[in-house]
Amino acid sequence: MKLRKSKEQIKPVAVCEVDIEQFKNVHIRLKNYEQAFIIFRFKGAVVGQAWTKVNNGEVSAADLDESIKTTAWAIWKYLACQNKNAPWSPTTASIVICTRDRTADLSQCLPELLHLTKEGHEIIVVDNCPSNDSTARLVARYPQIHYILEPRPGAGTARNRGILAATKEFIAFTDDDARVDSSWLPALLRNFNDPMVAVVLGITMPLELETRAQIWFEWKDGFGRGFLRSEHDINNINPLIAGKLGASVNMAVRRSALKEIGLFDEALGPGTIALCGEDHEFFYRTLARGFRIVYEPSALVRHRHRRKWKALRKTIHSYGVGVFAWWTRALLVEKEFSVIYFGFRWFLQYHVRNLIQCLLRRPGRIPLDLAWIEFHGALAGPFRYWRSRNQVKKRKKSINDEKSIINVADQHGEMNITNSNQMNCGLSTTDLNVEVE
Amino acid sequence: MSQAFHPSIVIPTHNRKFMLSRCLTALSHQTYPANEFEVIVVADACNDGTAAMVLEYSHRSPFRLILLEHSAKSAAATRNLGANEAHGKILLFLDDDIIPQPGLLIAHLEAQHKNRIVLGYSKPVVPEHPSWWQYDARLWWENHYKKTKDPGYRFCYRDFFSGNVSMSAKLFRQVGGFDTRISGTCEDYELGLRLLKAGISFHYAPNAIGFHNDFTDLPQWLLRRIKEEGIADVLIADRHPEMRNILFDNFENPKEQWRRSLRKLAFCSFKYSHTIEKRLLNMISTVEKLRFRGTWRIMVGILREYKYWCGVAITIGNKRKFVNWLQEAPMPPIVASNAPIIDIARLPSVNQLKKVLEHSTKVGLRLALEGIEVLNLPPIPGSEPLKIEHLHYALQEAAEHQFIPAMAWHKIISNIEKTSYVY
Repeated sequence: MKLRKSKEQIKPVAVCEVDIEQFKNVHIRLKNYEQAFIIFRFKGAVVGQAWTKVNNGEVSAADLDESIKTTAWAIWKYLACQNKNAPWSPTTASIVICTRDRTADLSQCLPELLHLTKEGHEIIVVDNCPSNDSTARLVARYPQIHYILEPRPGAGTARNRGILAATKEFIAFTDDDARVDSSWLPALLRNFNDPMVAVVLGITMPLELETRAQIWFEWKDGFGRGFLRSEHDINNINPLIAGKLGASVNMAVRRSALKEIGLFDEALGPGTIALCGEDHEFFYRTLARGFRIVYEPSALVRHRHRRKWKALRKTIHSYGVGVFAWWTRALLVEKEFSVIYFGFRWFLQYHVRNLIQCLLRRPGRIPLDLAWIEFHGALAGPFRYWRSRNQVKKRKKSINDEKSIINVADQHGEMNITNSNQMNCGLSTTDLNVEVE
Repeated sequence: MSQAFHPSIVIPTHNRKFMLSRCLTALSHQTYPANEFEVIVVADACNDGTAAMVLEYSHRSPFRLILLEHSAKSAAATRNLGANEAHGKILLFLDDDIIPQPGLLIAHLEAQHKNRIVLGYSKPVVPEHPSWWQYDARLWWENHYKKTKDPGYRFCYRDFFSGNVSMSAKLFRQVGGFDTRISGTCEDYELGLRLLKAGISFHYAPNAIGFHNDFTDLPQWLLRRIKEEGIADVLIADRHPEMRNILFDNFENPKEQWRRSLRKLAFCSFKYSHTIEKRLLNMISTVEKLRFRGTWRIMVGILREYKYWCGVAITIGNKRKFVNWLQEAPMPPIVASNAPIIDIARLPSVNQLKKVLEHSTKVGLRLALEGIEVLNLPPIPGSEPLKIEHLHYALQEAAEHQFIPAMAWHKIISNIEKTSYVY
């Protein structure tokens, strides 16, 4: 498939799923599509993907056979890992969804989660700095879902708010523009059997590939992290490249481990000046504190990528900013001096190299506008983090002033995050507990 | 768990008054009735007022508390003394830095069985501001317990930790207690080896939880424990010659060249090792401050290897002696050419299988799937006798990386399900 065609020539790609156990009888009929993106599944786990051609509205059996061969090892690995974990007793979890002015997306995401409340799980929607009350009105329709308003912008702030409001030991996160699979939550929670696992990350697949921006993002492995379950700890991965493990769109966190790891950094994440990176920074601290992160391809979330090219550019820019923003934090707060070395290496080997490839018109290059904007973002990253941090500090100060007047009670005393960790996340728990609804 | 059991808890201690008092307090909250067990504290060369604290506590302790004192400066002798004075039929060895959870004693007693050692779960707790090494150590312990939790795990003598373990007093006396020649660490490994040789099986009780507040840090571990490990390994191998070529496997030709050089260096410089290790330790702490993890790991690996071989060299004397000593011992066993073959597609009957496994514990075992050899299991000295669960586990381990064992492993599950083996 060539993506280096002009805008008009790129046709939408159909996204479909094939269950390997019954693939002999499968006929994929796709009208109006010339290409298909197939997700292979085996007993609920995602074991592979393939881009195939659609001829006369149908994917040929030969094509399917050929691409199914690539899934063999993932299936074996799945079977081998399946029995390895000792029997697991089901527990309940809190599901936190952070949203900001995306009521239309959220209205499609929530109904698929509702069945989980019947099993004893709780769902919390954190409305982050909304411009109107449409989200509040939407959530009010579902009495079983908790609604929390968080007026301070920032994904880190919103997630922390969700964590503090959650009552269960395990907290799963997903986004408003994502749809969860039916076996998503059990597949995530199963991994907490091992006491050292603090974070479990799932697999993220595209919900639709209708526009050039979406196809390009998926083609470049936007969220792709492979199909093999893997366990990561300080012995087998450098925590500074924790970003390659996954993202906050599909993750679960163990609450008791937060005492050591701390909460999300409020100066990072969408909605702040630093734009991105609160999840990766959190993974870094998880690994650096000796905990384990599991990548679990059985836990599937379908994500709707940005439709517009302009929005994609914004996302790519935020990725560039985010990486260097959280590395700056690691350097300033965690005294991670090796960041200087890794930062320079990554900047040269990735950003500068991408840009040069674009200019030399090498095959496999990314579009110049994206390369440039990511490069630009990377340069701005450290400064943006600094500004964002100062802004959060200022905000914290003003809240402290308010607090003396309102005199808020500590509502979430059971969290018991120790003093040292409050310093780690830059803000204290009591600040997070300010009741603003 | 009748009256007849009467467990005795033996706690050796050396100048850790505060930790010991915490341990004793936790013991008074056991779910097991406090008037039915006794605690024997053996103070070894204590001069921080431990004895006074224990005496003071014994007036208000709900259980029977006995204090013994000596100054042998040896954990093995201290534990033996406590065990000799114990009245109970079950001995539970606890370390003073473990905080037993309320269900610990009952979990040990419930798992107790004839000819069985019960290993508890000493959950590692890191101190307030842990160093990298302390994080690593916690991960190592947790990984260890995760591994042993699998019912098919084949225990070896290195899984025997005397910090949280119980066994019958009769058994302990039968095998002769801890070897007092090994005065530092690793005396538990040697006892574990003797127990396994006597045909005793190990059992892991995940509910016997004690929080392990081990505040050891890198310098202490590297300079003292690793050296003691080297010394202890020589002593273990001296007593059990079949272990020699396993403990010091590939002495002359290790896989990595740097190990070979370090071994040579250790044998010629162990008398002056202080200056070398001091420099290296300083460098390691600088690297940790700069947060270069890869470099740190390499340097710790180097110093570990060096210190271990220094320990070996101190006990043996020189390299030529060491090589001769190794050559006197038998070579590590391999799968014999006449080792029995088990075809997974056609598993024999349960009784037959038991016989085959018993035989193959000594000579090794070959696993096959419809005539194709899938996996070799060489005999491992210092391990439990082979059981069918172990085959399952070994195949599963191999299945993660190789295709043919994966098929065999798949087969064995379905076979076990069909023929309802006791599993």
